[in-house]
Amino acid sequence: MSTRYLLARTGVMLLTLAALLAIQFFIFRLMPGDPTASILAGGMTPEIQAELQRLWGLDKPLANQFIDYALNLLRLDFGISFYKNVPVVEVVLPRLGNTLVFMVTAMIWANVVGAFLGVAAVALRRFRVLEGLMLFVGSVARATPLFVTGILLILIFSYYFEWFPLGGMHKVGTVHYSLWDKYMSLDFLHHLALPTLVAGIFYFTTPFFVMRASMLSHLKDHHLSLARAKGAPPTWILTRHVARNALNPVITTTVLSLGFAVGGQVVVETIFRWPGLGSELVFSTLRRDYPVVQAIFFLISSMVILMNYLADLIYLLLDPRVRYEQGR
Amino acid sequence: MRIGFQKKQGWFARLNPWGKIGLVVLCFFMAVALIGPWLVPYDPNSSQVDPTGKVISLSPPSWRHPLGTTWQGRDVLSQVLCGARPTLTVGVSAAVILALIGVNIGLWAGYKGGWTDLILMRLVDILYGLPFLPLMVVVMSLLSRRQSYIILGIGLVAWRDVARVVRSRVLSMREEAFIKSARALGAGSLRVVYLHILPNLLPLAVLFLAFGLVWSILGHADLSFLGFGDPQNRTWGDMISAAWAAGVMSEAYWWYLSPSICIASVSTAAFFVARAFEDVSDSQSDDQAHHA
Repeated sequence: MSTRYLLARTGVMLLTLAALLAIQFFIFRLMPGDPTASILAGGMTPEIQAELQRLWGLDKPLANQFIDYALNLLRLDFGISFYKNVPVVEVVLPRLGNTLVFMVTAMIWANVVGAFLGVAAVALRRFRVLEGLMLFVGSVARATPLFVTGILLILIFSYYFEWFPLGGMHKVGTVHYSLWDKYMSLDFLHHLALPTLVAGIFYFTTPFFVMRASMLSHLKDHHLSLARAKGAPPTWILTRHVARNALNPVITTTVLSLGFAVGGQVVVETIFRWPGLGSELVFSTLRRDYPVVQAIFFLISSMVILMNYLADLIYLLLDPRVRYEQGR
Repeated sequence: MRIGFQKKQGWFARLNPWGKIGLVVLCFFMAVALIGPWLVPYDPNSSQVDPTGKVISLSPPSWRHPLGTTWQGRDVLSQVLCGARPTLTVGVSAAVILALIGVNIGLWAGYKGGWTDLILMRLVDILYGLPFLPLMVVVMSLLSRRQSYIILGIGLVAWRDVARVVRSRVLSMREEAFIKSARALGAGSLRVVYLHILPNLLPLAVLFLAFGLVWSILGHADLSFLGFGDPQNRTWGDMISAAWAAGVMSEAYWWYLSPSICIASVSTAAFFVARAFEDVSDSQSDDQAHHA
């Protein structure tokens, strides 16, 4: 059964990837005219334009163009950056690492804290004021744009208290010789703290609300009567019996919100000048450096699709009841 | 579960207190969006000069400028008043589009099942793989930065959650007696879906209208802040973006504080309304389960 699920899930993943390539191919041809017209607009003779069209394969049938395009992206052959004049891979790969380190840190702590607070809100539901306060704070955090919280925290912690740097990933002029050097230093953690806090304030709300709702619905389960009857303390019942069962929807919704979470990543990276894919996407788009934009969009989307896929497999491990027939 | 007669309460009375407050706040901002542009004391886009002819740059709140002025001497209050309209136009239109698409796709996928369901749900899977904001950033830079494109972009992508939830609700409803009897009496699919199933999903539709408002407002705000909003319709996000770009955050708090508060209030209010309708919708489906 689970092999079947695995195959079906892999199929969906590949389908999504193919659809992504098609959508991307289509989007980047939305530009008026073809790339030669919009990129090098202005003083270009028809001969040069024709030559460029031949060079970039724009004279081939659309289907061939698409296959070439897809293969190039999958081989990480993104072309040359218009602005920096170096291969796009060299621009984007280090940033992919920076983004992943940042995003995974924020996601992990936000989900752990969110799920924990969800349990706490249920455990403390007798204290109406406290419960109300938690729900209020959660709602405000969920509904406030990330740049508003981000700017507020920068003003408080960086400008006023000067506890954290204003942005960036390392002190200016830091040289690192290896990946270990780059990510494993106090200076790096010092720069990482505030951005992950800001992103986490946004990310923690979904697991918080879902965990709480899921806990409340599981409180009516029949097997809890047995636990209560044998005299297990309420806290034990909540954490051992209810929370464990309530965890599954949290994982599902976290996975489903990944596509939105990446958006938050873009905003936080831009505010903190974090040298990741998100901030580079914004800067490259403003510079109309389309090879870089295409590469980043492709990497971010495949990142979402892959993380989606992996999280579903983890879900399968956690909940053996999940079957292909049940769908999502 | 309830015993005895019960007075049927109106939907507003059944909302929790936070939902009621949220609704009032939303109505207030809707009113501002409608009449705000006529209330402005100054032109939001022109620099104000004092009698000596000097531009009143970064003036703190005063009687003349209750919310201060910007770097270029523009009146913050006027900009805040004018920012409500584009925010709510985009928010409401995109929410309506995404709720309409999501409810319809969810209805038909759940009711028809089989291939229809399979294809529509794979479409939903694909949309979940698309990173929303990066997609919008790219599309806005390739097309021109127009408000209608923002509305369409949000509306055409963000219906995925609606479709998923509506579908699962329809799946469980499809087997209920009142649907089966309607079908046995010869009601066609259109009739069953829109006259028998849809009315039961209305609280859910309103709930997603409110959540859609939150998603659209946040998406639009992020887009404006990053510099991909409609330059013709400047929003609170654009104001905060301008203040941030000017790099005077530590001195000129008045420039970004009021738009920040406005945007957080509108979207938090919509969130409270959504959660209040969630309670109403949940309790209704609970009742149905007990009756069945």
